[in-house]
Amino acid sequence: MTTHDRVLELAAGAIDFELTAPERRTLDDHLSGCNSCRRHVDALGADARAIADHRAVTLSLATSSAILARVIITRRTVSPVRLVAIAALLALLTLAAAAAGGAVLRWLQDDRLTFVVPSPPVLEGVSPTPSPAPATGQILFEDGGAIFTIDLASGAVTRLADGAGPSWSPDGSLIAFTRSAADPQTFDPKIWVMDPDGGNQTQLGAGWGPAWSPDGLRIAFSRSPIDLGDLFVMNADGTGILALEGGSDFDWSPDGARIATATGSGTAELGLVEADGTGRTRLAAGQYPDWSPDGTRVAFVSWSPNPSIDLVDPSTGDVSTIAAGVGAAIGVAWSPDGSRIAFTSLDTGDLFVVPMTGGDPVRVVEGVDTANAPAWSKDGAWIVFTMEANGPEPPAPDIWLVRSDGSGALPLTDSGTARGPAWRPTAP
Amino acid sequence: MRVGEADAVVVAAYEAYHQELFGFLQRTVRDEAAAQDLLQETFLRLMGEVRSGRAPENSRAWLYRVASNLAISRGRRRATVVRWLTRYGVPEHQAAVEESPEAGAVRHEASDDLESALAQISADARAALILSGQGFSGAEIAQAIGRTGPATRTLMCRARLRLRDILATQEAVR
Repeated sequence: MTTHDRVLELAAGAIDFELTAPERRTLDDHLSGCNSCRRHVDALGADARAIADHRAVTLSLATSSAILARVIITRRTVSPVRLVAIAALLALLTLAAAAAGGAVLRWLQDDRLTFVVPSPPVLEGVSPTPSPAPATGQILFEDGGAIFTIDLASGAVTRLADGAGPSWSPDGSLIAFTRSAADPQTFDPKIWVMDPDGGNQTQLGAGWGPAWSPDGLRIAFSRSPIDLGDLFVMNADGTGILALEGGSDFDWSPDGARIATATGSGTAELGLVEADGTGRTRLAAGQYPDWSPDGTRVAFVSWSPNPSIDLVDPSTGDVSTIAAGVGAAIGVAWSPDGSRIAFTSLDTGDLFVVPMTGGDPVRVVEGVDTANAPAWSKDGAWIVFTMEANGPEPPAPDIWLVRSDGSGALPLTDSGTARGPAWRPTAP
Repeated sequence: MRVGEADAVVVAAYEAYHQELFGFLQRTVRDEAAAQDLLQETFLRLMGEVRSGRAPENSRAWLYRVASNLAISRGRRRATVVRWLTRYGVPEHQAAVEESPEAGAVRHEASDDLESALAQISADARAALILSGQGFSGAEIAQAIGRTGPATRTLMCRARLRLRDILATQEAVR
């Protein structure tokens, strides 16, 4: 290697790395006397600047929204939808016989139900005490771009429709959901409604993430998951769309007059908007609002100074903390009788229940994986939630069921793509 | 359904960094559709981390590390395909065009000397130089592309000199 070559190598290296003192001396000494190398070094610097100045292609808003939507909405799509329901679930849960045999039904994408594994489920560390309240009813959820129900009594799994983000109407007579165009490059979500058996599918209009008002007459929704600053309300037939000052993280007040909504991410602001669009009140810094069933308080996650579950009285703005020191909390859900709040911790993956009468949060599920999205049964005896396997791969959520005292945890699915579980409000 | 929980963290990171990451990926893999796929994969992995309670402290650096790895391993896979095709009698230039028509287009049109020169160096070297252009230090680039500091310095030195040779040849032709 000639001195010139060596010097040029040093000059190229100096663009990204600190040279040692001798290297720097070698470089400077040579350049002071070599015009040819100096020109060459100048050109190397100009090339580096040209790389930095190059204007890259940018993504259109439609494409970037579509990609984000796929990150958020869709999950692993390579595996066929596989669901496993515990056939003998009712018997098992009623008797809580840990050794009770359960035939596992595997639901395949071609709508056939096949017996595959006649083995008992494993219930580690669960004492077989009789349960006073068997889990019954229907659980609605999404899996791999389709919407399903599981009937807990029979273990039957029904595929209702293509779509995501299903939401029961308050009386359990209708399901609202989001369906996007089949073309994955297009993000053009529409809100649909259908009967609980998947019949009478009707498109209401553009929108994403519907949630029914408590009286079932209106539906709140946002336009996309990318814009945290849009919230709309429409009549349940899709007419009378009203834009509200809020975001896609929201919860209806029990009387349906107001919506608690968080806007912004990171330092989210929790506010109240009137459902008729007449005003907005700031409540607190926080997100994931959930109204108490009696409408007197809103539970939410506060991030400052440390993560905690706080309550705010919407009439006074008074804030109190009911659970702290459990890491970054998410997935706040008030029990139907208002006596307890379930939440999950991102730090530990645990599912907690905290009593409103005071006292420490009770760890209901220990998070080997990450628990999320808890939803209570109407009698408050059970909690359905998602559990996501930890690891470098994309999140692989499945739906689990557990008694609110922490016993009897059971997986309802094993697809790695199931999410958004919700109990049917009233028995069919 | 609400924007759930961890989703908001990922949305914020997406809003802040997706365009620059896409630019980086597009220039590194030289294929818009592939860059879109890799961008999605990068954020899916971020979602996995955040949902597992392991939100990276410096999400920009983390995203670039993942994106670099994805882009470079894609480059390696493609190189393997080309070697395989040439071994079985497909001429190298045809194999290269097969696996990357847009790279050929860039070369033939020569509409952008710099990008066409970048297209002629290896994917990891290209990723390193573009990362440098996006303001990352040599040490950060080493971490992003998964090499030691000295190895990265050697890789980038050679790449810069090679790039200069290619550009000088192009300049001489005109």
